[in-house]
Formats: sequence, C-alpha cells, structure tokens
Amino acid sequence: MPDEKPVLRTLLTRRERGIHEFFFSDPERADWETWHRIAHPKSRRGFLTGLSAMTGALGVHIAFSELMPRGLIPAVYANASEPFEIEGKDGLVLLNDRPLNAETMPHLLNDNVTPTNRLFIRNNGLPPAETNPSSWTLTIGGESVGATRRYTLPELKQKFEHVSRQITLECGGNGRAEFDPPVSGNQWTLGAVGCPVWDGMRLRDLLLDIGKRDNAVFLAYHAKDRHASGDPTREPISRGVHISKAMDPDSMLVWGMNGADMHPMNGHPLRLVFGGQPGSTSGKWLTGLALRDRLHDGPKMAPPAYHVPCEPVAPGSQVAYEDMCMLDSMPVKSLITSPASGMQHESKQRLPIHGHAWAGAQGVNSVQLSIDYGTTWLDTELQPPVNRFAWQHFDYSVSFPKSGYYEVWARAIDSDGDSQPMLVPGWNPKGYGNNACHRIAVYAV
Amino acid sequence: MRSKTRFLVFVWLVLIAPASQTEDQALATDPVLVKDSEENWKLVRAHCTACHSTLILKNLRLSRGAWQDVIKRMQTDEGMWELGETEPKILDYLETYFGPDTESSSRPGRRAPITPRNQSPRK
Repeated sequence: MPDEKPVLRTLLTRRERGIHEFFFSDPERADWETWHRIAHPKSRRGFLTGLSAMTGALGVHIAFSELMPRGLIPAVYANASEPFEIEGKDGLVLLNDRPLNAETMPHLLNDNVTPTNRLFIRNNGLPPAETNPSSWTLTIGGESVGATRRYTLPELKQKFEHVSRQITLECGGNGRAEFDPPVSGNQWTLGAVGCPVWDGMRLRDLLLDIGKRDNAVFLAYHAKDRHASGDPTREPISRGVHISKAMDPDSMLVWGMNGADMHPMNGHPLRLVFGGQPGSTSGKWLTGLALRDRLHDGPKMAPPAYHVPCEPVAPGSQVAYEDMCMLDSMPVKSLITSPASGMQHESKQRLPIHGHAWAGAQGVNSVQLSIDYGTTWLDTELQPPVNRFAWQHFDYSVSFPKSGYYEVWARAIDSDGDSQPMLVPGWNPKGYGNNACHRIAVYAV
Repeated sequence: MRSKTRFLVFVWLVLIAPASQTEDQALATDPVLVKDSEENWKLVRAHCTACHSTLILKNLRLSRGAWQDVIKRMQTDEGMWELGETEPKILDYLETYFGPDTESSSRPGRRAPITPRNQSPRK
C-alpha cells in the first residue's frame, strides 16, 4: 500500500459535488483530479497514468482496466450493495460509498482469526490523505496530564513492550437493519464484526509513562480522518473510554494486524482497540489522546449517537436526549460462519456447523443450536478464548430427520447466564445492540 | 419566422438538450434515486449529497417525522444548512420513495424470512 493517497485527497476536496456529478460535468478533469489518470489519446480507453492511484487508496481494484473508457465512474461508485472490490479486501458488501462503510458476509468470517481482507470497514468521515508511519505522531494531553507529550510512531515502537492480542471488534450498530420501525444510519446486517490479531502495545504502559493524574476519569481520542462535509474545523468523531477501561491491561494501541500493516481503511498506521466496547470507542488514524478530568465532549459523545433509552421504550417512540444513556459493554452474540445460508445438503449426512461467539466484557459459557425453531436445543462443542476479549469457536454436526427446509439457529450464553433473544431486542432510536440469534437456511434434500 | 424556429431549435440543441441529458445521465448512474414527476430528486441530490452519497438512503424506510428528525440532527450536529421552502419537497420525496415499508409493519413479532447468503432483507 502506498502511503500517499492522491485519490482520497481529491475526493475530500469534492465537497460541493458528489463524485457522480463531477464525472458527468467534466469527465476528463474528473479522471485527472480523482484518479490522476489520463486516457490513451487515440482509443480514449485505458490509462497512460494513474492506475495505481485508482487501485490504491480507497482502493478499488479495476479488472480489465485497459478497456475502461475515460471518465467512467468505476462500477463501485455507480452501483449499490453488490459484492464489490476494495483493494486489500475480499467479499465485503458496500453499505455506503461516501463515507465508506462495508460489512462482511457471515460465511466469509469463518476463519478463527479474521484475515485483514475480511474485516469490515466503518467510517464516520473521510480517511486521511496522508498516512506515513515513519512521520506519524501521537500527542498526549488533557487536564489530567502534567505536560503534553508527543511521540513519533517509531519512538512508541522502540520504547514500549510489544504485545499481540486477538480482540473482537464490533460496530455498535451491527444488526441495525432488523429494527422495526427502521432507524436511520448504515443498515448493518450481521457482518460489522471481526476478530483479527492486533499488534501493538498496552495503552496502560503509555498512560503510566506520561504521568497520568489520579483525577483522570476519561480517555479521549483525536484522529486524522476528516469531516464528511470537508470542513477542516470539524472532527467527524472523537470518543474514547472511561479511565478504568483505558488502564485495562488488554486495551491496546495498535500499529499492525495479523503480523503486517493494518488495512488503510482499518486505521493504518495507528489506532486504539478496546475489547467488548462499541467499535466507535476504538479510534482509527489516531493522532491524539486526552486524559480528561470529566466526561469527554467530542463529536458523537452526546446523544443520540451511541446512546440508548435509559428505560425501555415502545418501538418507534420519540426519546428525549436527556433520557438516553451511553452504550457500554456489547451484548452476548454469535454467528454461524459455516455453511453459508441457503445451501443444499444431502439429508442422510450430518452437516458440520462452525461459528464464533463473543460477549462484550464477559466470556461465553456455551453455544446452543436449534433446527426446530427453538423447540429443542443442542449443546455445541465450545473452545475457550485464546485470550480475553477474543471470540470463541463452536462446532456441531447436525443431522436432519427428513428432507425439507430448515433453519439453523444459534444462541450463545455468557458467563452471567445472559443469552441471545430469538426476536430483535429492545427497539431504540439509533438501532444499537441487536443481538438476536443468528439464523441460516438449509435445504435438506 | 423560420429564423425564429431555427433559433429555438438551436437553443434546444445547444443549451437545453445537453443539460437534460446530463441530468438523465446523473440519474442513471445514481445508485438509488429515481425520477419523480415533481423533479424533487434534484433537490435531494443537491442538498443531501454534500457530505454523503445517496447510497445511505438505499435500505432506509423512515416515516416523514423520522426523516425530519434526521435532517434536524444533521443541522444540529453536522453543520447542515437550513432547507427553507425546499424542506417539504425533500420530505415528500423521502416519504414516497424511502417511507415505511408496509410489508415489514405487517408482521408484528416475527423477524423477516432469511434471505440467501444473509444479504440485507430489504431491496
């Protein structure tokens, strides 16, 4: 991945017009400004320049690029949520192209360690134009720090002990698409979750090193992504965690994933990862930390973002902001990742089922399957987590009594005894916390 | 008279036709917007795509009141401008094409049937 991202930089300056409009009003200029590409002058197809810019960055991989007429918007921008290609990602479903948001289909999350190319992408704003790891800096300040300190990323890597942990990362809005009445926001179905190995250091080590004061109550992050409007004075998102979570030995400053660089859309070259919390607390493209002596007041800290009604409400209710409480730990949840939903299966043979389960700050005690709409439940074989906050894996070989249409349901039960509901739980205005059991369809033939 | 006709043909060919063609093309490549007789889709495109693409609308089914709340929240939190007299027209469009899904409201207590490969149940 190149560190310079001309594509992104140009997209960011296009605030006055969408990319579609830009391409239609002046295709040649759009080609140049957006992709730095110039078509062959005679054929007007293919590119003399710019293909690497086009395939890097936001990174759409262009198959048959030599045949693409100049000024053509790559199909990814013209079409909707078909599976599409982002350089370095595989099989993600596009929910929004600006800001870029994409989720992974459950059967593509079957690996026990989520590969980099299968981790979902969630953005509130637009990614930074420049992400050079050797010049990247992190500034730590706030009311509860003696003096503001600044580290370069190479200094962090050199000074502090390296740790690697497998930690489940899930968007707070995963499952939003099922709420009824529907709520606004990206309509995540199931795939805004993954569990790669994160490479980096303990956040705790840094906070102790810089002299955290005892009155610190909250750790806030600042990042290099840009507000969707292009307004440089606005941050798209600046959240964080309570100080106890920041000081947890498994809360991480991360500079790599699965032994290599993070994908540019997952926060390369520096981010936070907090296990069991909504993904929005784990800031990407991290440039600043602030130890606050009060609750942080950055964008997306106030309701309704990442807040749910303090008391349960009827579906579709209006909820006043002062009656909303901040999301904390994520709920118990599981995914059947093999087989894919809708498959045909020879009914005389057993069908191996594989999947993962996770439970916010808790462990998962058991995972059960049902092939009869919850009438009876089967106990699966469940593995312990490789470390705290890593998802766990379950296996079971199902046999079907006769041919026909079946649904395989999975429910996980956490160490508090809490299990997943069968129906969509507590409707809330922004659609958080849907941990209803995952269901797949199987045709036994 | 003839010269006036010629002039009008000229105006249509050079000034009007290319403009409408561009709009048609813009609509054809837009991932979600559809043409409406009041041409309110142009207002939606003009006002709603400064920060995000229209793809965000794709699977949304909100009531008029909920759409109004979304606009208000974007104005309060994200720096969106006042829509003035275009607001009711934009709401008309959103309510018509991205309004409540009667199918989903008619299955109280039941989750939607599973769709193959677990793609979004709403088209």
